[in-house]
Amino acid sequence: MYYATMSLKTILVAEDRDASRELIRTVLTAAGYAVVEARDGREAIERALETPADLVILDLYMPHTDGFGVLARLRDDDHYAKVPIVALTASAMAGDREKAIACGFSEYISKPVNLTLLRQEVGRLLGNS
Amino acid sequence: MFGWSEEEVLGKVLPLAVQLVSALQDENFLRTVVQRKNGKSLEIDCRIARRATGGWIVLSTDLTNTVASEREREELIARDHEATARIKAESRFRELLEAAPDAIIEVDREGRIVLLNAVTVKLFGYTREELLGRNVDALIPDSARARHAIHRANYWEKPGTRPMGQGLTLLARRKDGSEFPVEISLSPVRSDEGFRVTAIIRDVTEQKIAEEKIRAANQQLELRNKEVERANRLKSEFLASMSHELRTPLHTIIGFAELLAEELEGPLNEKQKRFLNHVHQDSLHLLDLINDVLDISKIEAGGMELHTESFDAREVVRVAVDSIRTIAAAKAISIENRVENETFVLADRVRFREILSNLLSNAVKFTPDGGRVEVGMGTLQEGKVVFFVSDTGVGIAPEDFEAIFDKFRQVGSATHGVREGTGLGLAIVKHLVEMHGGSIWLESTVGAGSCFTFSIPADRGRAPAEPLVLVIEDEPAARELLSDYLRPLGIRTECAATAQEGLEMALKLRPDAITLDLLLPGRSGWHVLRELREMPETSDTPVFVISVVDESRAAADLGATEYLQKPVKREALVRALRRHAPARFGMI
Repeated sequence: MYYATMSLKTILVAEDRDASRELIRTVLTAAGYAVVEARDGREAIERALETPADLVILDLYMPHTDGFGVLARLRDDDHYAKVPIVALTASAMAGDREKAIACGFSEYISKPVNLTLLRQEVGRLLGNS
Repeated sequence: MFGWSEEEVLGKVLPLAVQLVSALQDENFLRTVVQRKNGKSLEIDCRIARRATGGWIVLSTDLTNTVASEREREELIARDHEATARIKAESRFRELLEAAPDAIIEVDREGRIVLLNAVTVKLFGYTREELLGRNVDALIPDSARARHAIHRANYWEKPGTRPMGQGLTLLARRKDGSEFPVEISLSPVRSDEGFRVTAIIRDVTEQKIAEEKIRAANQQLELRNKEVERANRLKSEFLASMSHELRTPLHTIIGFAELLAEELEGPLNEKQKRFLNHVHQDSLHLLDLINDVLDISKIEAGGMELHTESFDAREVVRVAVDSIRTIAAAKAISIENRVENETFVLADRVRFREILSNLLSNAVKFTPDGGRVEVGMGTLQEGKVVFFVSDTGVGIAPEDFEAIFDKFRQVGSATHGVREGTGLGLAIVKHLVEMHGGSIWLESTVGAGSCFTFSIPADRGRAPAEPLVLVIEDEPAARELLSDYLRPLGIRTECAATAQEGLEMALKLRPDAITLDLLLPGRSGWHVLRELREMPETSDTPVFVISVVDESRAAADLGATEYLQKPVKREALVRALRRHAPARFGMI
């Protein structure tokens, strides 16, 4: 480990599908980020409040509370009001992106995700591209 | 015989005569006696007729055998004429009454029918005699009779022309007791016999049946529309969820394939890399297919909306071309982008790019290694910008030109083993172009290549004007020739006949190029050339010197862009314009 734990930027990844969560986690960990995982919306809110993350990636469709619900809850929090929150979704209908941005998401990444693009966006949002 | 005075007789109703001559026919003669002014009686023959409204009227009098003074006779004749005019008017009224398509009855204050026409007889099944004098209640269904009596009483309070029972379906009753729908219009009439009311009664049975049919049809239609709407909504929802479901596993397949290929988890041998590449490529292909199917379904469900905006097509073309370069480079295909000028179009930016990307990827796909693909644009046509994508590929046979735009069709023989794709690409492109109000067409030669051309609405407000050439030439025929050369290419021309005019127009119009004849009245073309070069506004404008004599050297010395010898050929002129002002004439 070359990074001191304290200096690692923490990313919260909320995604109900194990494979997808593992994919995102692997990519982000390899890129040098600390990753906190959540399997559904409720867990996402709990984890987020426990560990203040530097960036949040939310799948839009999750059990219990969907991505929009989590976003609304987190944006109410002082810390998360200013943290980039990214929507990650396989939905590809017209207007989905606009809807997400209008709701307060910082960025919208569609699945299947391009790994290079994912790294770039995360880097850009964390201000260390 | 009856002892009436002439005033009482002529042109007047003879109420008593009804009883006295009731045995007579509709028209008959009667000998009567009128009182003379001097007290003596006068016997005259008169022709009387039954009035349409009842009673009798004197039609004419026969004065030939009367013993009367000349003056008396004239008076009687005058009255006779008056009476004839009245009876004529009355018979005209009778004709009108009978010609009316509706039943017409007149009813007195007590509700008795005093006048009716033939349609009334036909409509209600009573004879004329049965109806005359009968109470109008006979024509009203039992259920409405009581109400009618009240309405009738009220009508006399406020008589006026108006429809009866507005907004209600009125029913009338036939002699046999059957009922039928009617529309009734009432108007008060003041006659010699006092106030009466005329009722025009229209049988609306047919109309009601038609209305009912329309209503039923509308209801059906509304129901059908709702079903279609519901089906469309379900289809959209299905598409959305299907797309989501298909993309979700693809996301991890593609993602892990990429991750493994990055060898972050350890090195792969060549075979493993190759296998992994197959997985990656085919999963990307599967994604393309899903996107295409989704697109065509959205288009067909009418669920695709265009977000039209004004943008510079040049930028989108550049992005689309750049994103295909890697694939093209792998086949050593060169891609030339000739869309170099600012070109504002009114379109959906995303869909415009999709059109280009589809055409470009087809072009690359069907062009053999080492071939060439070109993207370009033509001049403005009817408010639309024309773009084309051409290739040096396998080409398409003319008989397949139509089929190529069909869904799921790849023109078998022409694909030469290239079978990748859904066969939806061109169907989508055609739909998208047409949704924009444009059209797409194809030129192709088997074995030589294809050129797909499509039009997209230009943003007229921001569209650069068509290129302008100023023609300075004193001979009208030569001027016209040059204009004729250029106009079909979408180039505007303005003409000046003298040196002075030429200079003024060059300053005012700032043309994109100038053709200059050397032999001009007044100052020579040389003079014009020198001045054009000296003025900062025109110093950079290409000037093509045109003359019968070879003056190329002198022309070049004085700053002419090129020298063209008369007679100028169209090709030579176009070539010169393209070469020296490619930004404005490059695409002609």
